[in-house]
Amino acid sequence: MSLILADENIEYEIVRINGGHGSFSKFLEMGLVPGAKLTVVYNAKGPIIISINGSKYALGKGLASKIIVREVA
Amino acid sequence: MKSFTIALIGNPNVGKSAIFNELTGANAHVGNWPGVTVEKKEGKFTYLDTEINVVDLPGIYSLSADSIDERIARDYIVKQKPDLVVCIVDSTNLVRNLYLFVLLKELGAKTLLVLNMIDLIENKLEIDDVKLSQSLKTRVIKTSATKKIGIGNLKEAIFDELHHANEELFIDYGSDIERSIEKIKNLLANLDLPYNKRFAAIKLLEQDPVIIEELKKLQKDSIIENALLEINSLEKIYTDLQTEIIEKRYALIEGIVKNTTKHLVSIEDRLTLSDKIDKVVTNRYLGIPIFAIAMLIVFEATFKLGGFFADYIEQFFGWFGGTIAQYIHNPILQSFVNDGLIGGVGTVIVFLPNILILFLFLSFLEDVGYMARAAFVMDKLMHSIGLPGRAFIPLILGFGCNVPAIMATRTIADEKDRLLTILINPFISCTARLPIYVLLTGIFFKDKHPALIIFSLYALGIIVAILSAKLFRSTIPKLKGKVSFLIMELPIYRLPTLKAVLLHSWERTREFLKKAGTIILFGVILVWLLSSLPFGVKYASEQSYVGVLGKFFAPILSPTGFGFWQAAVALIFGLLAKETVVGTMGTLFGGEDKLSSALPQLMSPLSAYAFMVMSLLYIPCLATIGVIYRETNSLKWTAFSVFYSLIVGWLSAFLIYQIGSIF
Repeated sequence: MSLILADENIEYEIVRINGGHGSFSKFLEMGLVPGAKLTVVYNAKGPIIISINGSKYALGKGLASKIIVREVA
Repeated sequence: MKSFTIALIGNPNVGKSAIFNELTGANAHVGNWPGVTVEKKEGKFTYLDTEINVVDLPGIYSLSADSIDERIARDYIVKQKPDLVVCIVDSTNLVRNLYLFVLLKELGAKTLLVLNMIDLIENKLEIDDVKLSQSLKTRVIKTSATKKIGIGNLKEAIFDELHHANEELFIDYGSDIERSIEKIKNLLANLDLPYNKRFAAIKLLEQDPVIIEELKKLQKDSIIENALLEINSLEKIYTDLQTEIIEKRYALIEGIVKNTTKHLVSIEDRLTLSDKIDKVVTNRYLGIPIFAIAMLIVFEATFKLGGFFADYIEQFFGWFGGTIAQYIHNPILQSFVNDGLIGGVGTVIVFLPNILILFLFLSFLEDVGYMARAAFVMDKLMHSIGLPGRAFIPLILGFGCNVPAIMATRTIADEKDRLLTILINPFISCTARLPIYVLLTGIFFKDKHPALIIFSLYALGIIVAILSAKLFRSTIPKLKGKVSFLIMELPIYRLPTLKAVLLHSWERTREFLKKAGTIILFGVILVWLLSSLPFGVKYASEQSYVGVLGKFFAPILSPTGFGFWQAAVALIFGLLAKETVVGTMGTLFGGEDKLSSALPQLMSPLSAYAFMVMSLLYIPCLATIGVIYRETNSLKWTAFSVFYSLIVGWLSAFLIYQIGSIF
């Protein structure tokens, strides 16, 4: 599912980033790679705050909607 | 003496500036803004018989060439070839920080790895630095710049590493990609490229624009085509090659970090306080009000506290002028000192406490880490006006001074977003305009909520900036298009040391003092000269040159409510620097103390307000115009900015005065 639908305080794993072909290399290079585990600290139903590898990022709605995650069992 | 050059590099907010200060003893600022170190900063220290020059590179996340900062850093390493690249990482966040390190290795740089903020992981995370050093093929040093731990070791290690050979770190991208890398590498073999060949080959697979450009210059388009063929065939295996390459690097790093660290407590415990604060300050409903209240408090304090000290400075200049007059008997010299220097520069210096206090608060909010949250809170609003949330950072910096604010737009990767942010920045009210507001509200709105009046001007600046952004986005073809995505790191909250905040605000206040001593001084001397000439006229009378000049422009200002010639003169000289508006008034009326009796005869509170609006919005100061030109590299956009703001300033003052007059 898309990251904008994610609940707070649950761990997710990034499956893929839609749009591909390097258009998001910046975000990938900041650690948002498939397989990385993240927690949604705050979901404002617009911009979103995630915690990944111990650092926090603010993501815009547009980007958050392109990130496909699944819950870590 | 032997001499070497080393470069400091690292992600934003890893304490790179603090390390730089500890190494070189120079006074530099420790900030929380992504990309605060835009300017190249240099210093040096001596170790034994060796002089070591230290270059501070911009804070960046990677070495791809898509932001100016990254390009600056990469070019520096590749072309200037420093003898050692010291990569500083945040120990609390090894994985992401090491990504940059791995790229440096790939680039072929000789490295030293510094695990900074080591104090923050005490009892929480154990790092086996020996194992880490072996896995990453580099020497590793643990430091805490703020607690002054490990600085001696770092200096020693830097010295040692200068005399050691570089060890390569090999990242295995898997047999398919490796085969392509090998092929491209062979094609590059005889070329005169400044890059490590393997790095260049990998970057070609990542379609790096700079390297492609350089190959085109060498007329090696065939290599680019070959790389594209390789990409095409690889993308039959991997759906997205770039993602695959980045993932491979992260996989290597994650493996190494897992093998060399041990968590003593869970990650959750580490973040709780920051998270709790964030829950409140970034709350959907509370976020914006909290930000507004914070700003209101800042302005209240700036006005009240600053005013307290300003009174004393004013008294001092009054006394000083009186005393001086007793010793100088030459009337021209006396007029120069009293009307020109004390009346002009003195009037500006009176506002030093206001400016210092405003900077103190802004530095504190910045260093604590709140500003990034403010940018997050404003993202939705920013999007609705056609700007990315990231553009909010330069806008807030504009409250300090538009010049560094416009330079800070370099962190915005998208060219359109960047240009737009530059163009609206001058409307954000900088501290140079504060003396004008403080002076006029002090005279005209003393008992009518002066802080609120000043706040309203700041708000108006923001509103004009927003409306302009919307207008530009929808009408100017070059600026049309989608807003780029927001991604911004929110640094962990930390209480800055008193020293850091004081240093930070002092550095900026010093700029103000420097301006007072140079461009403002020049401005008031010019005003004084023009007020005294031609010989024989009464000082600053309508017959003097300045009176003639002012009277020529005054009719244009009549519809805005301040059509007296002194106002026109003040505005003209305000172009040098906005503080000069106050300085000029002081010179023309003979000192700050005389303004409070002279101005009410020429202005009503309404026209004083219109005058403040004009001062806020009309043409940016020379320094700002200069930086707009430098950053846009376009005379057309610079001229556009000047004329647009002049029209907007006049129109706003006109509307406020005319509509206000009805009531």
